[in-house]
Amino acid sequence: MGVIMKVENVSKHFAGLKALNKVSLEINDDEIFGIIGPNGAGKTTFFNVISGFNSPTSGKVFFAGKEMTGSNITQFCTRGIARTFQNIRIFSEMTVMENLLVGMHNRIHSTFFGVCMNTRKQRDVEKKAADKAMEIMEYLNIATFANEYAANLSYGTQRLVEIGRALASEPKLLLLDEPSAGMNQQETMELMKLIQGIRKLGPAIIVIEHNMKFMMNLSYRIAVLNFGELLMVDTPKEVQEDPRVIEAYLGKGEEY
Amino acid sequence: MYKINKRQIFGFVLLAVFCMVPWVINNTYIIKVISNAMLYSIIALSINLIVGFSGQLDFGRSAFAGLGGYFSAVVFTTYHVPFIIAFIGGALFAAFMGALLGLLCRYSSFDYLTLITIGFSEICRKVFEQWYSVTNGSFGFRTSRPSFFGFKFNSQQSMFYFCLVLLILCYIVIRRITKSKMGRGYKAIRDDEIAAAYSGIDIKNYKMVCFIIGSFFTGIAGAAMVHYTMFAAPTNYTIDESLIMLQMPILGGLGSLPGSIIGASVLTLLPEVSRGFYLYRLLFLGILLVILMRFAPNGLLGRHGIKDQIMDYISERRARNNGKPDKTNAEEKVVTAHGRNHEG
Ligand SMILES: Nc1ncnc2c1ncn2[C@@H]1O[C@H](COP(=O)(O)OP(=O)(O)O)[C@@H](O)[C@H]1O
Ligand SMILES: [Mg+2]
Repeated sequence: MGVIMKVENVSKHFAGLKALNKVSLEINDDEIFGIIGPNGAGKTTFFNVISGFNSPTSGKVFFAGKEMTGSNITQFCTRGIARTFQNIRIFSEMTVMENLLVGMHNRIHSTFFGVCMNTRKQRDVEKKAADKAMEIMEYLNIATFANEYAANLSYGTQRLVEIGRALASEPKLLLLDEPSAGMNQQETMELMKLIQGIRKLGPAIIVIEHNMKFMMNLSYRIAVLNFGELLMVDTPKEVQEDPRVIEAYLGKGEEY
Repeated sequence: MYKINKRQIFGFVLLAVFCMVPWVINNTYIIKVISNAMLYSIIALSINLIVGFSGQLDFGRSAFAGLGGYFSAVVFTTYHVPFIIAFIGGALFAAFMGALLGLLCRYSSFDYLTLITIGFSEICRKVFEQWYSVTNGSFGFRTSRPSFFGFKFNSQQSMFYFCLVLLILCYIVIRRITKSKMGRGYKAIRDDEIAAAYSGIDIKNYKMVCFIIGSFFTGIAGAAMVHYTMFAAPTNYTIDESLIMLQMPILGGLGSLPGSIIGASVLTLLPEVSRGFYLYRLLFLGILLVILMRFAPNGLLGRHGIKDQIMDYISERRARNNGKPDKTNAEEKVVTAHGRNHEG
């Protein structure tokens, strides 16, 4: 066990608005880490800062044993981060298979010459990638949609495609931003099992969620954000009973 | 271990029939028009790569055809470089100029690519027109007849085959690029830049490389055109010309390679049908584009383009005539009907 992601005193200000204020956290490489907090608490901003979308106003970000403060998205990805988005982002005019192959981008080693000449090596590389994409699709139960355009799929399936694309890059750390949004009770339960299964496959996972029941069952530890401040980090049970959390978050209406 | 499927057989038959055209048709004018359509097809393919695949709007493609053409012509005729070297050199020169523009955007922003290409194409046209000592200005530049390892291209037939082989080679390479990791990268960038970045694609590099590759193919077609007509004039490389070139892949369907060839063929053959059409071509093409955008924004062969719409219509009719709903198709219609509106 080790620390995969460490953030030290990270702040992110947007024109005076403190979206994140001096947050320090350590995430282990074998846990499912939950982040909760009311809307606008800075959860998505936290993901953006630890994946290179925004660079922090101050503070440091370490990932996989290396300081990555100020690195861009591509550098974070190459190092082993993958994420899904609160508002789904898939390649809608590409097939599900292609979506996953794009996720595999840095694992496919083609040369320009190989592509133009369609060499045996190039064909092998593509074949292997397609096989692996198929494996992931089967794992996620979306193999039947392999050649369907992503735009034509239902919302829930698109979420799975997004997760599949993230998995295809074989990340060390997977960031899931409200993965159960728009899902019904049963789909949410299936998603929970899926996330637990993915954890066993390798990557550490950070999940942002509103659904407390979901988080209680899933997370090993939970961080609570409120107005950009880190209120506490503890086990789900402790978090649930903490009066500050109840005031900041649960008090606003549990379970929605 | 190549498996041959129906489509490939169809392609080979089509090709074989096409190869016989110069024997069957003795009218050199028709052969000339067809060859011209083939060269424009290469340009349409290159534009499709840039506009249809990586989603960058480029209004200056004719300039790159001009750069390839003039470079190749001048080097071949004035400096007597062997034809094949001058020819490839033209394409490489266009790619090089594409690389300069690409680098400019790479280190600033691709947001201005459209404006930059418009400006660049105007600059190029002016240079072709004013650099009298090299390009012979607005009188146009005459080239000598190309020859290839001692074989002179002195018949329309030989040029026809030259264009055909060139088109096939370019088509194969472009198709391979679009089917590879690179092509998927371009499409990913077109669909969602942020998600593409999160998949580890270096967006600016990819856009730049796509622009360079596209410029190479535009340049090679431009060079072939000049050697074919043995003449280059600045009036061939105007913005109007770029717009017509841009309409070819749009008409055929952005993202569809066969579509580009059809689009290019339609738009090069139509003006030959009547001189009147030639005079009003911009008006006609403008109207065509408006109609296209209204009823089939994805062109003839694009996704949900005219071909798909016709196919849907036919299968629907067939299903209705059979008395039972064609289930798979009915389902497909429902899911395709509400195209998702993705934010950001
Ligand atoms: N790019 C941005 N520019 C300005 N303000 C932003 C930006 N991104 C987020 N914010 C603000 O930062 C705060 C935190 O947002 P966010 O991280 O999305 O919250 P959460 O995901 O917890 O709901 C919000 O007040 C939001 O309006
Ligand atoms: Mg959020």
